[in-house]
Amino acid sequence: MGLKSRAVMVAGAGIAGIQAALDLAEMGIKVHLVEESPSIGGRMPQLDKTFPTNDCSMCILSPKMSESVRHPNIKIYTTTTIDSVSGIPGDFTAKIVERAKYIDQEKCVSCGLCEEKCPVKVDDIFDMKLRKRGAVSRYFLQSIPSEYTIDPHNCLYLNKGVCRLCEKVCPAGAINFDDKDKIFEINVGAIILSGGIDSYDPIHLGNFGYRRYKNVVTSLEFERMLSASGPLGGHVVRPGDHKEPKSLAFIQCVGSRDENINHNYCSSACCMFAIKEAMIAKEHIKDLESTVFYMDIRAFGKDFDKYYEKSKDKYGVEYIKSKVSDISEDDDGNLILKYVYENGDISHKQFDMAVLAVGLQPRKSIVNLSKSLNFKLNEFGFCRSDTNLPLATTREGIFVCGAMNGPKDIPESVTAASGAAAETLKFLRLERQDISAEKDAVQEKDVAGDRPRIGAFVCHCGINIAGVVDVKDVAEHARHLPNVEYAEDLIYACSQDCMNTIKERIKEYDLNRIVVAACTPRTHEPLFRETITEAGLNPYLFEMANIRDQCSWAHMNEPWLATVKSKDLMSMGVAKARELKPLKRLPIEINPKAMVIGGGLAGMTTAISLAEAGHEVYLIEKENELGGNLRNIFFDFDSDPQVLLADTISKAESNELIHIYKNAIIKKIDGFVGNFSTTVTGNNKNEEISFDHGVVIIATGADEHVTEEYLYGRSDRIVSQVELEDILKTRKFPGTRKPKNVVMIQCVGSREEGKMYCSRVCCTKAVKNAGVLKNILPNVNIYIIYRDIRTYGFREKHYSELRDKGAMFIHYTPENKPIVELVNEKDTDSQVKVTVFDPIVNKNIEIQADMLVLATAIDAKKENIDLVKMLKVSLNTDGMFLEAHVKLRPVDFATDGIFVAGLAHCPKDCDESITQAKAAASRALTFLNKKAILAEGTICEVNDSRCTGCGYCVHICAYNAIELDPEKGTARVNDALCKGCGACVASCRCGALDLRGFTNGQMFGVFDSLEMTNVIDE
Amino acid sequence: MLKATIKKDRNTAVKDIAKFLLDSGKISGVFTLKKFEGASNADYGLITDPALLDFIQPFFPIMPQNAGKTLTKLTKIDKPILVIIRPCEHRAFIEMVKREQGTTDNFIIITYTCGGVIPLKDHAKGLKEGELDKYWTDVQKSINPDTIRDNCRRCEHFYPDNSDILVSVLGSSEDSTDIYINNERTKTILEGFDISLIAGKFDASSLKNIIAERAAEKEKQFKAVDKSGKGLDGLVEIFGKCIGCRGCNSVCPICYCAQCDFASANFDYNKMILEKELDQKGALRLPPDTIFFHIGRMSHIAFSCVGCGQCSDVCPAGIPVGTVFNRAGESVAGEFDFVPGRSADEKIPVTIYKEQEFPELGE
Repeated sequence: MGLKSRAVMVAGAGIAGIQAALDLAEMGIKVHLVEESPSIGGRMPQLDKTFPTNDCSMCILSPKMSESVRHPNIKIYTTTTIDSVSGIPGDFTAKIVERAKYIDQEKCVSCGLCEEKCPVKVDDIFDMKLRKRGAVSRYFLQSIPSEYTIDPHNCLYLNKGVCRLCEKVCPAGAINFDDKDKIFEINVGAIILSGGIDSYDPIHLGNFGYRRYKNVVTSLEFERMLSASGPLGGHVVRPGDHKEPKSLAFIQCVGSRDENINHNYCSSACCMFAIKEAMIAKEHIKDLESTVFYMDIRAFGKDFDKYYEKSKDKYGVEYIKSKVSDISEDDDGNLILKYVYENGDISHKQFDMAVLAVGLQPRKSIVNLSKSLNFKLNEFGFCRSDTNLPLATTREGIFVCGAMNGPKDIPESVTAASGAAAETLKFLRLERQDISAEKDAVQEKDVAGDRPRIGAFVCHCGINIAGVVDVKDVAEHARHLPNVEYAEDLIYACSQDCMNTIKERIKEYDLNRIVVAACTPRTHEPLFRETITEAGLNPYLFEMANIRDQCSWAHMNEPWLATVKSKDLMSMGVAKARELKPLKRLPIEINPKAMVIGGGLAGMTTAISLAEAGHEVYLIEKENELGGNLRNIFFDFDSDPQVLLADTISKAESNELIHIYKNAIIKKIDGFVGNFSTTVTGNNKNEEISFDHGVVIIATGADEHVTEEYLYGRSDRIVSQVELEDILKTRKFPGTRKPKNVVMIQCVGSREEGKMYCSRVCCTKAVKNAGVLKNILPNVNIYIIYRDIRTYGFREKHYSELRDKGAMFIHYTPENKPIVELVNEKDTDSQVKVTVFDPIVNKNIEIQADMLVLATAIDAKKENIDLVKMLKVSLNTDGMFLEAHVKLRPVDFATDGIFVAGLAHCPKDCDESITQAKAAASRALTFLNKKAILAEGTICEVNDSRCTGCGYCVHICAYNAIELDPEKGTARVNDALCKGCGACVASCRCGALDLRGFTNGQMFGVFDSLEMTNVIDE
Repeated sequence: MLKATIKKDRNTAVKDIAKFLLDSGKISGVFTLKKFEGASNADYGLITDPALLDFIQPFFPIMPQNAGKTLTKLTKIDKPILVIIRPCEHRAFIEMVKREQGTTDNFIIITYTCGGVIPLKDHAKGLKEGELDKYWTDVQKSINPDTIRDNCRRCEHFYPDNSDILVSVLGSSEDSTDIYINNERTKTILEGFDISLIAGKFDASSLKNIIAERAAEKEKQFKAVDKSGKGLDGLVEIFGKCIGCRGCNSVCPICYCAQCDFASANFDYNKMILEKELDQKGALRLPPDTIFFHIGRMSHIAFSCVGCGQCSDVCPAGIPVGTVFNRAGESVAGEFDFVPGRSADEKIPVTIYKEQEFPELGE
């Protein structure tokens, strides 16, 4: 197939869309990132903290947002929808419509005057209607793009032809009421849908009194209340009377697991966000009581159970297993919850506020989208995808990720996004990219040895800064600082004409260092660096002072102090600039081959993805055949795992780019990103094979837990769920007659002290195997003894089906585990007696079981530790590989060039392993598709004459970028791995380490420049 | 663990061991205190000629330098060296090993139950008639000799179990010497030496009086330098006398930097800084940054302070540097259950990453 296109459209710019776009862009693919709302970011900006690390959602997201807006391969279209897609995979034409914004995005400087003057006040959607905004507004504070837009539905002028106040006050002349919708036709090879989900509107469930009682809110509304940047500034109060609540009720499964509203699925994330909100609320309000009303706590993800336990032990969150039947309100606005326990007992409790854990549901727009794009929806209205092809829609060339094809939390969305990016590649023309030489690059001026000639510029940012800070005074102050040759104030430093002014001044005054006092370097430093590069200066000869966030915003009520502080920041900036040196980014070549460790489903899938993208792969398997754990799985709900296995093996074995080593043991791995070298022994143990590769993917899988509990091993009638699969396949049941009573015990070796994690697949596996058993033996009685049934997502459907078929579910707690005895100790074929307390009938019951099936845990492989030593990566406390960031970098390690997929990361199902395997391939390709990468400019360097080689820095570096040189006995920094965090510099007693661009000399200069005048006293 | 009783005085007993090892070619040299004929002073030496072993004085009660630092320089010699040093010197060496400044591989280390050392200045002035005899009488009585360093008087680590061989000195008789062999490696290297080994472990109960005496002394000395809660004023009270000679730095066995940052150009006061300081304060003590120097050094090394007392000993201004560092260091090290010099396998707290550390201070 002669593929031509090198572009992809990503529709939906939430975290999934952003991740997919970034991965593809890094592979050299042009991405059209299309978003319906006025900003990229999706749901994440609305969240306060994220589980299970309690990281601030916005803090971890915004670097990715900034990166995508700056990336030369990503074009962002906001307020844009897809009209139609025509053509064939590899050559689609997408027609997209960008709604008129009525504000010239080039001119708008986001000063906010227009919204201040706008007479219209409407409910703010982003803040869940807890706040009002103007008809002209910015979507949220950290919106990207940051420019304002006019909402045509509410604008007075656009509807009634009067007003135009914004036009009068706009200092940039950016208002354009003549703006029209724009239609673009873009040619792309493939499409990724990442349109996200909506939350269920509980107005339809009258019993909870949502909207009727002011103090009943949804979890998303509560999220905005908790957020420091939200409408309440993080001070949670009751909407009814603005009093601080002292007790909170969290009600789970509102709009989830509910057949009455065709939501017979689990929303997967609500248990965790309720746990999080219950905990975080307790941090906000002293002595707050948080109570969660739940059916099952579904903390099935990595490290989730530890988080759940922490909420009970450390935070004192209370959990009540019950169903809330209704809520009523007393005269003071307090809420009385009526709830029903498992055994039918009814109870009442009063709370100050209630938070409804609203479920996730498909967006309304998905129906029309599926029609215009011609892909199918599943029975619940989500985008349809298949277990074995979890990222494909029903239309070839169109892929799906995020929650659009089923409820997912953030890391799963991010994983799916990377996976979908890898899937598009088969429809694209791939080329390894060179380090892009700047077109018409200006010759860089050599400033070595020149006296610093500093240019200082102070930005008004309209009134954003100048409304508070006396910018002229700051510029005047700068003018008199040593080495400042020129100082000027600019209305909008980042506007094109002001950028030109800066370039002209550089020439005019022969400036060789530039300081800009304006907003945050996070968004604007790259822009200014680019500008001075165009004027012939090295980009690192630039320094920024953030007088907007730190002065005009932080001290808006003390303008004089804000000015004094701005001057100090300017002095510090100039002091730093005085010491700045030009820095270079050195290229590091990337070997295009990959090594995948582990030939199970995940490893093979990654290898196939990489090979299909044109890369040679060394696939290392320690057993004598491929397949891993999947070899023991014979049943799934909709597909045959053995067919999947055979297909995957044949694809891997028939691809000539994949070199498979079986019975292989890894002896040694040396090197770093782009430049690894590995030695293995293959079939012939004496023969060592060595090869070079650019990346490593760890897909070593996991082991089935071998239990000693519940008399396992003492009778043929006591088997594990994996062993049951084999029995179901061969239909050779233990004992002389077919089983009549079968008992299954869940969480054997999971969720216990020392192994506080959920093995995730066992509930579904039990439900699945019980279903198969019921099909074979329709009269069999099945008893499933469980702690929480965790059939998340669409798996819930199978759980309720099994209940309908008459399987009995009995809840137990770890304090009161079932007791297993053999009916006749001496008889190896003895029946098994299981005694368990049944909370529904409120007494112990005894079951004479013909078979006892134990859902044994998934254990981390002990051999993981060998790889940890060779690759210097980390394991979590359960021995599973620890990714770089549990939320946003789920398949990366902190060390570049190493990735993880499958059970080696944490317990997961087949479809999830496939997704993650493709994600690992995608992340690996962001390196492999480049001929070289550029090292950072701001990296550490070692002064050999001072270094004593004590090794502190080696221990401290999180990126394994430092080692001791055995010859010289001093530390050596690997330019490719150093991220310039500076932790080593702080650790170095001898002062032998320095961070380029932030040297000790520069920093001391900055401190010494401070005036130290105690202005507060004056 | 093995024990042997050698029916000789301790100097001869150790010399015999050294001689045997050197003669049999199992070691390449002996590192310990020696006093050559006619020398006024004992000092450290590395001896390879067996004939010169007659001059070794391993137990002579002075510490010309903390040998832990010296040993790092010898660590690259291939063939083993027998080292006879004090417990605090051994501990200093272990701290250096953790900092990749040496390895224990080629040393056989003998330490002993230590009575303490006489301050260098006192020794240099010349010891009084009978002073040395009095020292040894007190050592035999297992009490603190009057003449020793303050640091030694309060030392808690004077009966170590982490060396290859331990010689019992405190409370021991002059004509019979008990030695303890702490590992297999040492037992092997002593094969062929005329010695009868029995199973036996050093019993510290015989030292309980001096342990109690030194513990009480420690409490007293720590209390005397305790300025907690007094902030900068407290530091001035202690370090205000500092003349900025950096002697403490140069004799400290844990200060291992090739060049001290405080002695580098980074701490030169240029015109701008001088003028600014004078503008703000109206006066400047010179040399500047003497207190900053001690804070810096304290934050860098105090938690690894082995309490040898060299710093106090050399301080011309009489500042109890060692006591302050020891006091500050122990309170930090205690938070991490860290004892400097206990074992080379014990990692320095600053190099260990823990997800949860001091949760009471917030996340």
